[in-house]
Amino acid sequence: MTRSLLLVGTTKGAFIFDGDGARKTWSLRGPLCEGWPIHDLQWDPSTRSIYAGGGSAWYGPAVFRSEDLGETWTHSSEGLTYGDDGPKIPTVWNVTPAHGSIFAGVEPAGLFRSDDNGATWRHVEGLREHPSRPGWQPGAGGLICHTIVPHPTDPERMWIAISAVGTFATEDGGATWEARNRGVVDCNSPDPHPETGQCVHKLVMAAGQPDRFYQQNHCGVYRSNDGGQQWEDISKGLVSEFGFVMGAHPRDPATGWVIPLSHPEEGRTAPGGSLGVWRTRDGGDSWERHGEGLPQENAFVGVFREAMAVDRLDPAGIFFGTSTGTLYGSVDEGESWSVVAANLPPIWGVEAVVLD
Amino acid sequence: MAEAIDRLDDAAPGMRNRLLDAGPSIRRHINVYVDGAPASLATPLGPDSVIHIIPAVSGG
Repeated sequence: MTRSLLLVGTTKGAFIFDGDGARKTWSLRGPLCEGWPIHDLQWDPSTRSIYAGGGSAWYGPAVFRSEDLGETWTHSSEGLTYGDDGPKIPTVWNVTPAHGSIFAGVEPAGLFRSDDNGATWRHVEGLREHPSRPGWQPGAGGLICHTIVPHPTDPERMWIAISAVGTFATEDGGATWEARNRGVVDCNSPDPHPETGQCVHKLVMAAGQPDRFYQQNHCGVYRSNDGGQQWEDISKGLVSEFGFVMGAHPRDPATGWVIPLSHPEEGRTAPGGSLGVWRTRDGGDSWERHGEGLPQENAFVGVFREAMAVDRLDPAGIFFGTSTGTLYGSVDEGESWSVVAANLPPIWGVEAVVLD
Repeated sequence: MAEAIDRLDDAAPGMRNRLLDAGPSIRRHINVYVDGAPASLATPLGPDSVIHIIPAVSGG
């Protein structure tokens, strides 16, 4: 019997929603992870574990792990440090299982790896050794390594994204990295096409096509067909080119979702107070807006970069959480929406898990 | 004080990372007191010293 879970990271802890087979009725558990601010939760199918990354202002960064679907947790930050002479790490922004290891993206931007299910960590130094590093500047949310996209079959290949530095890729397991920002505009720089400095908000890989990517950037929505070597703007038709989240369909490489927001100087909220999810079925050549079930007026809410998830069922379920603590869900690939939960703390991360 | 935190970590593995940041230094929003006075990692301890480790209001 198929069972769904929604893993939700918030400013006041993690929450887990247990869903019925129809994905219509959900029951809440939480707050979990000691109520720590949690940026991201992800499911590791190889060990049937949940990982949660975040950081406490008191106790520092940590990655939490549960082996029993969130009933009990352990946590560790052993080795999650740049050393006694290095900058201090306040929090973990992303945790991603890949090929038997766990990767964590932190602030200030860097990548860590665990090969013992999160008990101990070591710094993947190659990323911060990139020659562009002296010029790395933070975005409004900080200098954060917020996205990790592993290659589906080659453990030596991976893409990461840093705000406001850009996308990087490795083909040697993290020893060396290459900036992959050509074609992405930096609209906050006198040079619109620098090698680095672009403020990438979210990077997703297209289903079944490991060289095709979509990117929601501060300055537009983009696609690449060559592993990020070259990007093409696909913002045309959207109400705003600014936004944080991006979702990719689990089977169709041409389908994806974004939630456009107003420009930073206008608040980074639903444009005109009307919340809509925009879907493309043609790789970004065109977009269609859907708002049924979402507030269409007086809704000045944001959606943070990790706060959208797509499940692997058919039709695909889409779930996203707002900065004001409302979790929405769709079971018809984004055409209509309903409230999964209201009155949560501000939502930072959403992950959808399907258990057989 | 630093040695006491190491002993605490022996008893509760991982506790050192909860209290100390890179440096090592006591985390910004953690206050440590020895016999009622603000302390640092270098503060010496007597055989009857009382240690308080208290999360600060500034931490949230």
